[in-house]
Amino acid sequence: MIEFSEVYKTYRNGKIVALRGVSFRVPKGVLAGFLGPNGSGKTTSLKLMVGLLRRDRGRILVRGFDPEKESREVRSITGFLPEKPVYPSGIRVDLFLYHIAKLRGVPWSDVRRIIRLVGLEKYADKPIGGLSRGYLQRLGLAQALLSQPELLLLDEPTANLDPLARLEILELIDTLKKDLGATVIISSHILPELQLVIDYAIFIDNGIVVDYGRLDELATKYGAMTVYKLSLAGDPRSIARDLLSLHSVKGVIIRGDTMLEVHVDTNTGREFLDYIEDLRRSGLVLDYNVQTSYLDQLYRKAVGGERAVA
Amino acid sequence: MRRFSLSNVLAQAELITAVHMGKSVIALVAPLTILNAVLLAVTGFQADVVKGIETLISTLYVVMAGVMLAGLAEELSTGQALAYLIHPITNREYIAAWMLAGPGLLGASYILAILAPIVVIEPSLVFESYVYEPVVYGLIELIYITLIALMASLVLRNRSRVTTLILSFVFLAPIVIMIVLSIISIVLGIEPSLRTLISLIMVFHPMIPMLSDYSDLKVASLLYAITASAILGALLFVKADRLEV
Ligand SMILES: Nc1ncnc2c1ncn2[C@@H]1O[C@H](COP(=O)(O)OP(=O)(O)OP(=O)(O)O)[C@@H](O)[C@H]1O
Ligand SMILES: [Mg+2]
Repeated sequence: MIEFSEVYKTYRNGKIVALRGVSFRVPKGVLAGFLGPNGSGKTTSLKLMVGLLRRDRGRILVRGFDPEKESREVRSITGFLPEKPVYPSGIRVDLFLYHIAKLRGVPWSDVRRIIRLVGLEKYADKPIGGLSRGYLQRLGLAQALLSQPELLLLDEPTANLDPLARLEILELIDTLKKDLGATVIISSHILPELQLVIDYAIFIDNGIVVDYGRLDELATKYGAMTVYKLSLAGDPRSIARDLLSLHSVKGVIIRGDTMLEVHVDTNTGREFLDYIEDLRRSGLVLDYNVQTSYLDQLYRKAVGGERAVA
Repeated sequence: MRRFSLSNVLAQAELITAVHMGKSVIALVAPLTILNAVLLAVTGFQADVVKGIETLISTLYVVMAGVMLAGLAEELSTGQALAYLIHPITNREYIAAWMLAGPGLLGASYILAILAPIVVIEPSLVFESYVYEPVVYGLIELIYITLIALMASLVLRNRSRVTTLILSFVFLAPIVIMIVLSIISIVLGIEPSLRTLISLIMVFHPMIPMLSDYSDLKVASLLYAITASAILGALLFVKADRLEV
């Protein structure tokens, strides 16, 4: 779906180097996380994908189109949620969306549908200038989803949202991906919540893509584990022994009398979770939660620990 | 796929009008039309008066147009342009929409403001050269200045700088030319002709020669403004291809 090869991009006549030879691929149908610290080049890369910026060097293909020369083609198959969207503040929400619908050749009934989908009904006839940041983000999603695009590029879609709205949006994206079969790229540095939805990752740091691929393959490659914290009612030693007999458990550390830290292989983690649920029902395990997500570990290993964002 | 979509241009021009000009155009056209009607009726349609009034109105229009089209600079600097360009509208169509909303829409309302009172009061006058000539010149000056404002917006990307530039272009430049010419005349003892003065100011106000009796300068200013506008229009498309938002 997307292919970058050796892409260079500078700003201010070469004074600021944003991308220094970026190469990666995103296959059709994945939900990819585009992960990297502030200023690593995520927004720059996303903008290059739809021809909002011009690359200095290298090649970019989006479903076979060159976004610079074939911007209309690329823009019509892509829904884009900008990082810091600015909309005409005096225009009504629905009228703005009608305008976008016109540009996209989408019937007006779709506008009403999308307004309902993102929960903007109450504000549809209000000027955009009066929306809170969270509702502006919903408007951003509405305009991105309007024509049911094949490719969705979301630049930090959960920024400015409260925790509940974040989950709502992520679930929405997940369903949309499943319903539409769209390819989705989400740029972010908030990792735990992304782990719930993505199945592909691109790690970028300082203008270079350091690694990319399917999440399970990356997890295997880096030996990334999910670390769980268990609080127990029973004897930690015997539970630890039982856990170690599981294929997916790679290590157990006993922390005091009632705590266990369990390192679980990410790709076979299901087995562990089923087992823990059984223990919980029998009362031996009181509670458990993820201490370190493997996405976190991958990020640290790929991007480099000291610069990582938890 | 189509290389250029006229319907995109029309849709975007409509939005630009709503966002940047809607109320201000009405606020501008209505009083100017009335002012024009009153002045014409009071002074009784003398050729010189008609020309003078139309030049005045044209200048006001040019200033307003410059200020409104600096809205492009604003859309570029705030990132609002991006809100449109992520959709299937090309950079060229987006700029073309500005060209349509600016010179096109403002030009049409300018013609309306000038001709409406005349058509109502004395329709036959429309065919007098002293009536239609200022309309034609004024329109061309309007197009010329709005295209300069759009180019300045693309290059400077700063609303207040573009506005300042246009205001200096319209008001300051002619004054500077006059001062420079008078200094030259004092220092060198040469008396610059009115003709020299007009042909210099013509670059900033293609309409000015129309007020004089130099018929060759009249033609020259028309040719200059039309050629310059055509070149500016083409350059705007070239710049649009390189536009980054
Ligand atoms: N318009 C611009 N002009 C100058 N420099 C820019 C511009 N946009 C980005 N940069 C620089 O390019 C580099 C990459 O920026 P980019 O916005 O792509 O990073 P990012 O990964 O999206 O960061 P963040 O997580 O903060 O959004 C940074 O050093 C940034 O300062
Ligand atoms: Mg960014």
